[in-house]
Amino acid sequence: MEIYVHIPFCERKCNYCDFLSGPADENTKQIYTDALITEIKKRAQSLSRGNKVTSIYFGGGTPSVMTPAQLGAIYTAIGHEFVIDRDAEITIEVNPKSGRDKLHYLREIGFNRLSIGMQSSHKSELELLGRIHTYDDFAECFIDARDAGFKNISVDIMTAIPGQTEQMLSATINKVLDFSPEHISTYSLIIEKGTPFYERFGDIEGPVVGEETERKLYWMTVDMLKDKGYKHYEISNFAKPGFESRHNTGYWKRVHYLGVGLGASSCLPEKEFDARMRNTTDLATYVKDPLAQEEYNVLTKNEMIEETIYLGLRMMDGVDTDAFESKFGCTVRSLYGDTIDDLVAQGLVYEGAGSLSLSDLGIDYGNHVFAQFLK
Amino acid sequence: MDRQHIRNFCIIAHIDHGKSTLADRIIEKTGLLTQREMQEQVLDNMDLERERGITIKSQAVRTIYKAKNGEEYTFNLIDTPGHVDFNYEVSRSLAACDGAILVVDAAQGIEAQTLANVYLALDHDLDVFPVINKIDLPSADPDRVINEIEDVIGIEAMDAPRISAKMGIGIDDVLEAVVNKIPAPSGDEDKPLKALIFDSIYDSYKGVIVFFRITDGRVRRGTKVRMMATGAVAEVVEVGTFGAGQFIPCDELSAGMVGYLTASIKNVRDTMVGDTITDDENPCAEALPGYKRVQSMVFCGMYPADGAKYPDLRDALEKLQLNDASLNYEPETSIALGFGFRCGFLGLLHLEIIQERLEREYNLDLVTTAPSVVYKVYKTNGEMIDLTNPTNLPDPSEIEHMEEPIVSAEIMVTKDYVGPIMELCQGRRGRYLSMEYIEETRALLKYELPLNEIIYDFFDALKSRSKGYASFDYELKGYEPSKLVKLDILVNREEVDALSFIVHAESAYERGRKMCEKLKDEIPRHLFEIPIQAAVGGKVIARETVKAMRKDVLAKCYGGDITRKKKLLEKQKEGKKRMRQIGNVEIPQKAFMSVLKLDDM
Repeated sequence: MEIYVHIPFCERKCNYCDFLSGPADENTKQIYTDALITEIKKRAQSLSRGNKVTSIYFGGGTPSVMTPAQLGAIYTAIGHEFVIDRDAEITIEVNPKSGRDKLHYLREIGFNRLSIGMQSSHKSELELLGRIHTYDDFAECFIDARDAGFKNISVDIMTAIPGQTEQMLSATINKVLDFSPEHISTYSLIIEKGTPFYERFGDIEGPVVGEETERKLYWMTVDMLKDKGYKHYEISNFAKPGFESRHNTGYWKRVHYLGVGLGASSCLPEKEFDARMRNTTDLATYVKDPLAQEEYNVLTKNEMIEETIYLGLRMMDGVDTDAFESKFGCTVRSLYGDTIDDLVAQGLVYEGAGSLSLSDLGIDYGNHVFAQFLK
Repeated sequence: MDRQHIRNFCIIAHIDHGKSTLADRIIEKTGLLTQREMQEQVLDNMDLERERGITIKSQAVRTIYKAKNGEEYTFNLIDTPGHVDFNYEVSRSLAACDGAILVVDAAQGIEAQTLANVYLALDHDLDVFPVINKIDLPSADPDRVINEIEDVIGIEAMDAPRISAKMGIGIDDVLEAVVNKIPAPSGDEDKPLKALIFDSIYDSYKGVIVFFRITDGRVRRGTKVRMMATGAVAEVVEVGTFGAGQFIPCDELSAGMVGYLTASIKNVRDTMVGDTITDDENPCAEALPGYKRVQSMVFCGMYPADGAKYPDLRDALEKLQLNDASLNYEPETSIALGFGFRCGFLGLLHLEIIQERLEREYNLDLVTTAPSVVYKVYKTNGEMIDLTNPTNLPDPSEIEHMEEPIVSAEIMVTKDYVGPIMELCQGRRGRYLSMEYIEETRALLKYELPLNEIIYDFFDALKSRSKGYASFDYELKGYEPSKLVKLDILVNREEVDALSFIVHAESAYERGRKMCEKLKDEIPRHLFEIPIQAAVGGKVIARETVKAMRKDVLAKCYGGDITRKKKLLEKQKEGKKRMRQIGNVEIPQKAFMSVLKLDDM
């Protein structure tokens, strides 16, 4: 089982961000910390203790805006209530201005993986995005992190930023590669409703830079990173061998996970099926009742099958069709033979021995392919 | 009741001049309903009629009025449809009356339908007296309108009641005028039964209810009646008169009276509007004049969006037809749209009403193809076919020539917009006949126009070019030879039968080009490039391309929020369900209506 901890706070909301997060005062953060700990304790009671935790992920927002004491208290609460696997992956997202002391502290209490939101090496792009850091902040943060003992660091890069050219993106990528991080995520900017970018760029379908440019930037990124020995293991994720994000891979492989915190999603067993649920997204409700949920759906077998395929296809290794058969008692082909034949004929998927995966063309049209597997 | 105390009349007006409101006031004032019971516009029964503010089917109501001379009069108020599509029904309703109240808006004055309706009423020898309505409006100018009526129509208007039906002003004057200016019905109740059907409706309990006006003779329960044109014979179960929204049975109706009968007739087709009812055992010598079988003027294909709903659509059409003898339909099949029906209508409004009723009352999701008029195709082998579906056009080599329906149109418009309206008519292949100024600022334009040029969007174009100041009326004139071609649309090189339409050779290029442009916007991008072509006789005359989609993938995975991702995918999948698969291209259903909207561009 995996655990996700949501910290809905940040120093300043970025111009593109539609995640559940925003700035908060110290008092709010403390009240939230207390509520989180209450939730962790109560959730643990209803879950089997035999379930070893293989991954913990502190995401946000920016979890590093919490004080070391708060982060320590949350982490300790998890340690008390759950059995954490000896070599569990324990990640926290940090912004490049977190500071040397905090990084050392995080490493000391048990975090072993960092995800740094760098996004770009260009001042103009960082300003446009509304980020509060500079490239120098990132460089310093990375060196401090290594110094603190982090041997597994991921860096986020944003692509398709308005005005971004191939030269600009390749400069950013090279400046990341200089530090040789274990893992790189590249996210293509999407204009979401309710963000300052939405006001600015309007209700446009697709990327601001245009689809053609967006794809060019995407494939250039893939080529550059593969060239440096990174494995392209998921549509937007790259890793040195053995450093694939265990936590995110868990989502794509449908490992059970408990999400705690405001608006956090979970996928937990419910008799022979799985249930997907989501906590309340209202802060006041959450701190009053940290178990309040706004969604609770028990999946049907068919929904579990659909998820297994469209989530599995996000990974370059694709869906493990043998594992599929032993789990659901039928082959993927028996359910989707015609669909697969069509997609293969269109050059969108490959059918290998024991796997079904996206082709390069299939990556460009991923949603189209995924939608074909919905009944 | 002696005939001297009966008044059979109707109200005629241009649309929105206040016909239904005046009818409401008359009913209210004559005591049939108290004000509290009044629902606005009592006569317009169907929801659709109320919403659109028009009368679709004619209705009748009977009220008792105690006049100033102390005597009681029976008023039979027959409401007439206000739209040109239903002209024939209007004419039959008028034939059931002895007089008409002409309502003219005190601000707008005479409009095209005012004239058309007055002429129709005068043709039926009705005594027409005018009423000036909406005098409460700030822009009202009753004196000007009275002059206009005298000058243009040539009927006495000096002492016309000046009223506001909405505010209830002057209604008493109208009621007195009905007594004094509309003649009592003539006729002989001892002669054989002779009665005119002006409407009929289907009721699931009583069967068909026939609305009629008796010219001669009498009818009662047990009378064996015969419909002279259709030949249907049935024994009368009930006769009666009309309350507002209800039927009041009585023992007998006689010459001069207006009422209804039921006779366990199952189909309104047996009781066609305009037919004459007579006594089967003692028939009258000849039928009343003017009966004609209504012809469908406009045809289109109607298909269920969900193919499995075909039986539901068939049942719904069957039910609607029980009540609407002018609706025709027969099964047809389209390669693009599957199983459906080719339906015939009186006009575009009629089409829209049926479509809306199918969607609203029967919960059907429909795909409707472009409306078509009836073309006459003369083949080289001497055969002539009435073409209602462009797909059935014979090979050009078999066609000797084709003819299309032409209408005579009258357009009334204020001076400033004469130019744009003439331009519009010329653009629609109109043949200019005449123009006369009916007053300094307003002109009456007469044109002959091909019906297929006005069925789509002529009303809208007219309104937008005249800022709403033009009014329009037309009647079918006949057929004329015309150089017509079938325009085919090819999507990804496959012909889409449901998108074909007949067009004049000279406008083929223009229409084809616009159609391609429109479809380019309607058809979503696919993984491959899609050519959209317009072709005449196999020759491509216009082309557009739907570019290939370059990407369709979400990079982000929302912190384990799979539900949100799934919703996006489901939306995508759902969108596809509403499309029609032609070859390997998915076409949204609304694209099949795009030919209707070509002039919006």
